[in-house]
Amino acid sequence: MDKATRQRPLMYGLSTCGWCRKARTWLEERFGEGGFDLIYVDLLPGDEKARVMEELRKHTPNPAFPMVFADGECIIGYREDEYRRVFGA
Amino acid sequence: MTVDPERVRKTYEQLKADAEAGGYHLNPDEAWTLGLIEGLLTNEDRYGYWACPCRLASGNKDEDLDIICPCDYRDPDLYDWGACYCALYVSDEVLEGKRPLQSVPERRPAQRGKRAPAPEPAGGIRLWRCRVCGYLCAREHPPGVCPVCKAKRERFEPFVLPPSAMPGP
Repeated sequence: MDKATRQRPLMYGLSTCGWCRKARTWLEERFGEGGFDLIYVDLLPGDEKARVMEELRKHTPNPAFPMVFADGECIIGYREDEYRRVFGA
Repeated sequence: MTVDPERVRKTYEQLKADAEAGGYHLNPDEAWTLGLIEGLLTNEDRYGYWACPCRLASGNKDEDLDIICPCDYRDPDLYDWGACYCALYVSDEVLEGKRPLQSVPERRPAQRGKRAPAPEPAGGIRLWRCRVCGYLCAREHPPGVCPVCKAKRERFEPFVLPPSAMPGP
């Protein structure tokens, strides 16, 4: 298994966001549709949403979407260059 | 998301006409723009207002006033990055292909205090300032809709022009 696939990527996004749609497409092309986990924060029930946001604030004081986690890294915003660095093209 | 495509298309046409009339441009990537408008309409159905599709709305309109589209951050982001945060709006440079479109870092502060109280006129002229585009108007009440950027009345804040800024006799 190569470095890029050591940990299953996890993306936090918003179902209404264009950049999140792009990130999702990028991850689908790289890992296949079921090859990563995706959580749409805007669709979570209120208390779960608050819990997730609290969790995300541990990584950045001002969470922004998409947020992609993998191999101990957290990539904030749609960053193709960073995706390629972390996941390999 | 299930928004009637006809409603999305109609909103797009109206928004595009309003944008161009005010000197703004919608993103020419139509699929992108229609997707964002679908997001805006989804938020209208969810929250009752056009919360930015790329930000997590609280559902409390007062707390979200700054991220109601067009958001308070659109114009500085257009200037600095060539696009607003969600890239619904783009600058002339991006439209003409002179500048690449890139994702825009979040400038909305994490800690948001309450709005400052209205400043005292103290001899100056009391105006209303549109928080979205900076349009100023000298009326007793703000307009229902900003004539430049179409932001609604609640987006206006009191603004005092100090006596020193007024033309002399």
